[in-house]
Amino acid sequence: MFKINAENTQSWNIQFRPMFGELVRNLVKERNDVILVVADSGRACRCDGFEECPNQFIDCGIAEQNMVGVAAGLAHCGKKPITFGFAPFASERGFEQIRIDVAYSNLNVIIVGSEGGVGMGTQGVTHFGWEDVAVMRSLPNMTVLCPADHAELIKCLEASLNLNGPVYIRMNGGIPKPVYREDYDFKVGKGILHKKGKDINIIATGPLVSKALEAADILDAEGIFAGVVDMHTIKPLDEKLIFELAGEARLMLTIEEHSVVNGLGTAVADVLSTSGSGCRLIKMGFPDQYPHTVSPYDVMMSDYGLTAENLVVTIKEGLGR
Amino acid sequence: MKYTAEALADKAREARRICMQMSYIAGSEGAHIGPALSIMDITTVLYFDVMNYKVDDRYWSERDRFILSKGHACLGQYAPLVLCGFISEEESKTFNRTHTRLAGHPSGIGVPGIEHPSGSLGHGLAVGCGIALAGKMDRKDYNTYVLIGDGEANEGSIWESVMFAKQHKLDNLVAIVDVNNLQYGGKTADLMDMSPMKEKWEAFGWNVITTNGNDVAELQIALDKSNKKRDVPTCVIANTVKGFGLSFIANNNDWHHCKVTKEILERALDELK
Repeated sequence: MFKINAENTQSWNIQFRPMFGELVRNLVKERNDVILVVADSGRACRCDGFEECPNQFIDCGIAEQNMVGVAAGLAHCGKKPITFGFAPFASERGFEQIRIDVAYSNLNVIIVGSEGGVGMGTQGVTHFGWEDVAVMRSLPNMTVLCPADHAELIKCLEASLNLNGPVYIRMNGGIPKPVYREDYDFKVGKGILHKKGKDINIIATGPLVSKALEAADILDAEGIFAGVVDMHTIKPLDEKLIFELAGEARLMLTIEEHSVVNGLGTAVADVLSTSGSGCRLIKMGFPDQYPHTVSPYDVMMSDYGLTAENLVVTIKEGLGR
Repeated sequence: MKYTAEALADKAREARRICMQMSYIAGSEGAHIGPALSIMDITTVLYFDVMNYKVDDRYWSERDRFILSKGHACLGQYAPLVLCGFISEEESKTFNRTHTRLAGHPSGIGVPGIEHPSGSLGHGLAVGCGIALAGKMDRKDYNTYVLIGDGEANEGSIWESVMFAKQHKLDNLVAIVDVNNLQYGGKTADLMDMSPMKEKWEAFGWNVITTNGNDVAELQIALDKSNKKRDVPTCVIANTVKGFGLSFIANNNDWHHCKVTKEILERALDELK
């Protein structure tokens, strides 16, 4: 059911959340150490218990701080707890518990934030993961992953279970367009270079990888050669790849469904500033300002210029063409 | 090995001596002396009467777990850990000094006998819930003890965990509340009145036992495993005196965090003979 192949990836035409719920439902049947820990948030991933393994689903009620602490305690005893909630609640509501009880304690807790970015659309800013990557990547020991599509969500979850230490998996909004249709090599901390650019390299994360690929195709037809990287691991960042690409094209662009403050763009800028390459950087994402009107997901993405079309425009401007 | 109440009282006195010596070593960094002395009888009874553990195998899977949620009272844990051999006497002399592992709030990594870090209040009971829950899942017999303060109970997160433990029938979890009626800023009753403490925990569905938290014989009875109730978590309300054991420190909140001079140390050791 979760094998990554052409047939399956086509049928996963759903939002990240139900896909994640199904994945975990499948996972607990195979592994009795995996425990899904939620704060009345199970239904958000269409999962409010496992009939076959009821003990592997723990609902903490609407109490995220306790959810994180309980997960830490379970991890102390060799379990592999996965906490799940909407991105701001999963990452920020119990942030200090994540900082001390999970990150500082370096425990194997997988924190999953769903509908990161503006995935919650008209539900409003309280439910947006505007700066969740920023806070999570500031924690020592924390690995931060952001899958491009469902196949990569599977890869991220599998990899997280094999890592030693805490992980934040940040799922984004919308129904991701499949980037990967066949099984592929995925390594935490190794960006996936889809194509190398001569004029510019786009470092994208989450569902913006598919938009970057789309933009690169449009640009290609116009004689502008844009490279595309799926930077699924925001921390630890693939510095080697950034260095390499900085030496090959004079412009780099980051695009993420997150504030431009302290997310992927900032992480890449930190590396680029030490590369000595003189490569310029354009950061695309949400501005450092909360919105006060909200719209359905696709409209919000479009309003913030996070579309293939706007990528093309921005890149042409950046290259002076 | 089980101790008589008299022997336990001797241990607690010895632990208080270690606490004052370590506070003196801390020098100008100072130490949380009042809170440590407040809990010393509780931790002594836990380590020398109640809990099962192996000093030479700190990760023994069957061990009883203890989390000091009110981490600022760490000397109240370090001292018994020195006494039972988890922390060497040599290392105890590094407390609050340069490059020490024995920080003013306990680290969870590296220091034997410290199960989990604490210092920010209101975290320990949730972690204790997770450990107790794992014990249930794995059908282990160990118990988890979490010591919190009455001031710490101001934290809303404590009550999230109180509800969770009841809901998940964690009868292998014991919360001990150190009720010394004082916190950093003054009297608990004036700052955030937590009374009636017993009725609060009972209302949340816990099995509540009230005891004198500075009387080792009473604590032995209160913390005895036979007091546990099936499917219900237990709370031991330990009425204590902050700074108990030293006449000039007891119930004096100026000793919440303080520096110890040579003269003070000598006076303390003299009283603790």
